[in-house]
Amino acid sequence: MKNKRSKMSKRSLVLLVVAALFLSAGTFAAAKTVLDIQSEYYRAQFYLNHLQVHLIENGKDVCERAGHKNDLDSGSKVTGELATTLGYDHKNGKSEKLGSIEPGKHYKEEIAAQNGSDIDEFVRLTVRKYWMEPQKDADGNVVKDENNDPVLVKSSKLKPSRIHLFYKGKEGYNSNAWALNKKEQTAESNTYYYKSDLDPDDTSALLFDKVSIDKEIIDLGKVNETTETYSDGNKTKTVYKYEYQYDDCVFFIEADVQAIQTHNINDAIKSQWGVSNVTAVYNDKTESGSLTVK
Amino acid sequence: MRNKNKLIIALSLILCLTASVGFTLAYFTDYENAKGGAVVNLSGQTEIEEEFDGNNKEATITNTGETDMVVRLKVFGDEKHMKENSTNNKDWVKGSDGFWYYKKVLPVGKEASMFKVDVSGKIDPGDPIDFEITVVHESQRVTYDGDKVAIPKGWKINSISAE
Repeated sequence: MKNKRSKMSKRSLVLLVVAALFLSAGTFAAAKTVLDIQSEYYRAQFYLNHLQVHLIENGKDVCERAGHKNDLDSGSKVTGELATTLGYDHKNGKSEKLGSIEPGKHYKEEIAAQNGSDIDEFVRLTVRKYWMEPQKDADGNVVKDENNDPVLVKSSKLKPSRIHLFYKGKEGYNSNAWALNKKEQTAESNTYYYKSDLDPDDTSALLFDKVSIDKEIIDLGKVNETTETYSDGNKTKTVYKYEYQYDDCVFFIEADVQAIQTHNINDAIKSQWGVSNVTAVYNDKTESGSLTVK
Repeated sequence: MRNKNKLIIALSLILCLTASVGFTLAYFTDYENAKGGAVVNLSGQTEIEEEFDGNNKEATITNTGETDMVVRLKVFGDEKHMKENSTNNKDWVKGSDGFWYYKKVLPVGKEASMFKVDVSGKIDPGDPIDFEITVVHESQRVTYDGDKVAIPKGWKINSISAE
């Protein structure tokens, strides 16, 4: 046991000496370098690119981010309000009230994505449609309360498919520029992928251009008709009142645009977007790419 | 002891590698979200005021609701003693079903052009008769097919002007 300790001590001593020698040699080398030569001063600079995307409705960024390119807010979620569906349209940069929403009438709803960053990107757009209705009491009357937030319509008749989106006069989307991923399709939402990369400052082709509410909505539920007649000499007045079941229902459209980098695009798509049937190629030299939904 | 050291070294390596993997998965992404909704008013209300001045029966329909409407009316009575024609009722057109259709959408708060039923000249003042003229009107909340006004089911009119 003593021998072992003795051996270990010697080994430690040897290691200590070797370490001291290395240290001394290193010190000399450093001192020598400083004395011999002054190296040239090299300067390296790295730019951290950032990615940004804007949701465009009727030619306007609906989210009104505080800053654009100079803000490194990549990855931040910004929420805005779609204007047309709120009853407003952008004309000459001003909001103009459209009036009430008429069933069956087509309203301008031009949806697109814009690359707000300084590098190329791929984008996808998810559009969700749904109905809500005001809360009602046991007798079916609307609760008149400021805090009466609408609730989801539970009716099997008033489906999201009663909200129609059009492109160039036909119901549907712009399939020349966008691809629908049927694997992500639900009754309420669809996800569309832009088929090519989006260059900095470029705006995509439109996904939709019009929105409409099904005119059949008035025939879906019960109609309560009441008539009251008043007479006064030669005059008779009759009041007809029509109350439709889905009066005061609210339709909603929600759009979510997402952008992703072009480098290592397929890994990025799988990792960030979680889809396996979407692939893309991007050529660094030509700075162009394409995306496919299988 | 040796195994324990190996285990520690292995764990350290895994930790380092995992940290690297985490970095490579941090891709550049960005997203914006927006939502908009609008109330769809459906219910409507119209009034018809009828007046008989001794010579004519006049009917005026007013939209007293909160939604634009399309309207039609039908006149019931002794046809020998009344006269409905398009000369007096330029904004109305008679359909093959006997209804008179208002050619335009009736906006909220507006009156449709008066509809007149002429009964003068048909009755001999020396031999008055007793008859009744009834005007029945029907209205419906306006709907559209794109930019054109949709014709309600069963209505016999080719087109209704949006203005």
